[in-house]
Formats: sequence, C-alpha cells, structure tokens
Amino acid sequence: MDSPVAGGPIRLDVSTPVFEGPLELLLALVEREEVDIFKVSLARVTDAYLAELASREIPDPQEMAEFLWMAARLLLLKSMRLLPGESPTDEESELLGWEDEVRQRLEEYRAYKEIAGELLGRAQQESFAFPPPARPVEAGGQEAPLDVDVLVAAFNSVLARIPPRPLVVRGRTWTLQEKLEVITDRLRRGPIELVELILESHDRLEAVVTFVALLELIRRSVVRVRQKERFGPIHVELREAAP
Amino acid sequence: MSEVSAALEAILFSSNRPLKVHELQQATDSDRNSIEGALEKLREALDGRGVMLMRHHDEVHLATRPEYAGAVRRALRPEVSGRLSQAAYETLAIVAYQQPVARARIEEVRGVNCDSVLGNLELRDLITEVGRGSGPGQPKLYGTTMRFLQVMGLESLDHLPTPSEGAELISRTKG
Repeated sequence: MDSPVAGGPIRLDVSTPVFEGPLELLLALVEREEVDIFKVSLARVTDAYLAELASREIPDPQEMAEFLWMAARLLLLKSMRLLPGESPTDEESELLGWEDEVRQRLEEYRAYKEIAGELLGRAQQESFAFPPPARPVEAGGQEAPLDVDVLVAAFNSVLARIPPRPLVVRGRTWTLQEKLEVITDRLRRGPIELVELILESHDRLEAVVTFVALLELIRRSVVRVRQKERFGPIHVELREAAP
Repeated sequence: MSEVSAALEAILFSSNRPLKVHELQQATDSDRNSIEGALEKLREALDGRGVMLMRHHDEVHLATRPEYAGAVRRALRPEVSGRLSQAAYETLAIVAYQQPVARARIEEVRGVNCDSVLGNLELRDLITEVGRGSGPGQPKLYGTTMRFLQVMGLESLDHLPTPSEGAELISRTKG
C-alpha cells in the first residue's frame, strides 16, 4: 500500500515498535494526539494510521484484514468530517455510533494497559511472596511394633475380597523371595496402605505370600507399619535406612 | 490472638499448598464464621511481620511479604521463573479484574486473538479454568490462581492496583 499522505507523516515514536492489533495501534496514535480519548476525533488520526500500516509488514492475512477493516472505517469517518452539512445517511449514523464505541473500547483498553504496566512493574521488582516450602509432616500414631493381631485381622478382612484361584487356569506361583523384592521395590516409590498392597494380589495364594513377606520385612526391620487411629487404615513404609 | 487463629497459623505454616476454608473448618472443628473471624485476627496479628496471610477466593495460605522477597532470594536463591510478554500482562490484567471471563471478552478488549497467550498463562499456573459460560459452546471461563497472587506479591485480589484513569470503567465490570 502506498503512503496516502503527501509529505510523509511523522513516524510514530513509541516505545513498543510492534503493535499487536489495530486497537493497540489506534490507541498509541490517539494518545499522541490528545490525552483525553473522548475529545480526539478519530478522523484526525486516519492519516497516521494509514502511514503506520503502510510501513508495516503483516504476513498474516487475517491480521492484515483486521488492520484494513479499521482503516476503511477511519477513512469513511474522515470523509464525512471533510464534507460537513450533509445530513448523515443511515450508514453514516451507524458510523458515528461506531466512533463512540471505539472510544469506549480504547479507554477500557488503556486502563488495562496501565494495570498491565503496574503488574509488570511488580514482577520486575521481583516482589514475590514465597509460600512455605514442601515440609514433610511426620505421620503420628502407633509406631511399629504394631500388634500382629491387628495385622492379621486386617489381612482376614481383605482376603475375602480376593477371588479364589480358578480351577482351570494355573496362575503363577510366587516365592517368598520374589515377593520380598517386589514389595521392597514397590515401597521405594512411597508408602502404601496395607489393604491396597494385599489387593494387588491376583489370587488368595499370592495374597498369603504377600502377607507372609510383609511380616518377614517387618521382622527384618526393613519396613514399618503405622496405624493413625484405631480401625483406621494401616500404612506400610520403608524404614529410612533400608537398603 | 484466639486459639483457633493460632491453630490456623500452625496449619498454614506446615502446609505447602493453599487450604480451603472448609478444610480449616474440619481441622479445627469450627464453623465457617469462626474460621473467617479467626483468619481476620490472624491477618491483623501478622501486620508488620515477615509473613502475611494470603487469600484467593476460598483458599488461604501464608507467604512471605513481598518487601522481603529480596532478602529471601539472597538467602535461598530460589529459581527465577521466565519473564512474561507485554501481551501476557495485558491478558493477565483483564482476567484478574473481570474473572470469571471468557476468551471472547478478553479478545474484545485487546482487539487481537489471545489463544496462545492464554495457553501460556495457564501453563504457568497464573490463570486457570474456573467454570464454563452459559453462552453457545459453553466457553471456558478463566480466573486467576493463588500462584498469580504469589508472583505479584499480593495479599488478595482486593490488593490489585487501581488504575488512575478509566477506573470506573473497570470497576463497573469487576466482579
């Protein structure tokens, strides 16, 4: 697009060289013209708008269309202002309404820009408010050695929920050593509830091996079990020094 | 400071995440009014101290006062997060003052597409989806997060800066 204004208008001198959209460009032009957005005639900034548009490269067609749409409206507005006295047609009346609406939008946009500036200022001062760090709160409650009766009761209550081994399909058989390793591995990822650990079994035999392995791990002081409250969930976790 | 206030202080001091008011109710076996009253007392008691009570909608947390961010930084050298663009701050400002707000409204104010900016802010946990609009397509509604208050060093959304001009324009749409 050729520059429509003879003599070349003054290039806009603002700190942000790139405008994100027609509204931002228009706001910069209007603010240069007049502090009070509601006093400035948008027609007066038409030339500057067109000049700025001509000097820019806008590769995105949709973005270009938005800039051009605004340009077209500004030009029409300017032509109306240049030919006063004529009573406005319907389209022109609508355009005058548009000018007011754009002024409202510019004013609102300016207010948010100002706040954005303040937020940016706060961020640049690095006035961060640090929350408390992750802090492990030691679970209270009964420490190991937990009464084995409690463990057995918990085990019995969950055993009923595991299906008996089907007669036809032969499931794999777990050795105690395998289970010891599986449980230790599993607990390295974090504590687990006793019930869940046992429910991971595919059949009752596996559940029994799991439970015996757990008792063995407790005996070896590799794991410990806690119960925060009577009848509450029983948690199994590795002791810190565990290998 | 009441006993409930002191208990709340202890809970918030120990927690690395914001707590909802109803969680505090359960923990202290108090009703909502006494929690709100106790929080207010705690807030007053922390006046002039190094930490402050932070409130974001229904969530509360403790955090260091922004005035001492420099001292904390020098002592602990925490990670500094990446800088945001001008567009991001504009979008953040609109979300902060108009929440819950749909993308269409933000784009109306800024006059440009805000898709990627919103995605970026969401990724940084500065804004989040807080609901769905009732309009066609039930658009996502955005709101700020507790993290937003932390990054900006604000005690609550009531402490957002007030614009010198166009204030009535914004406060009219606020809330």
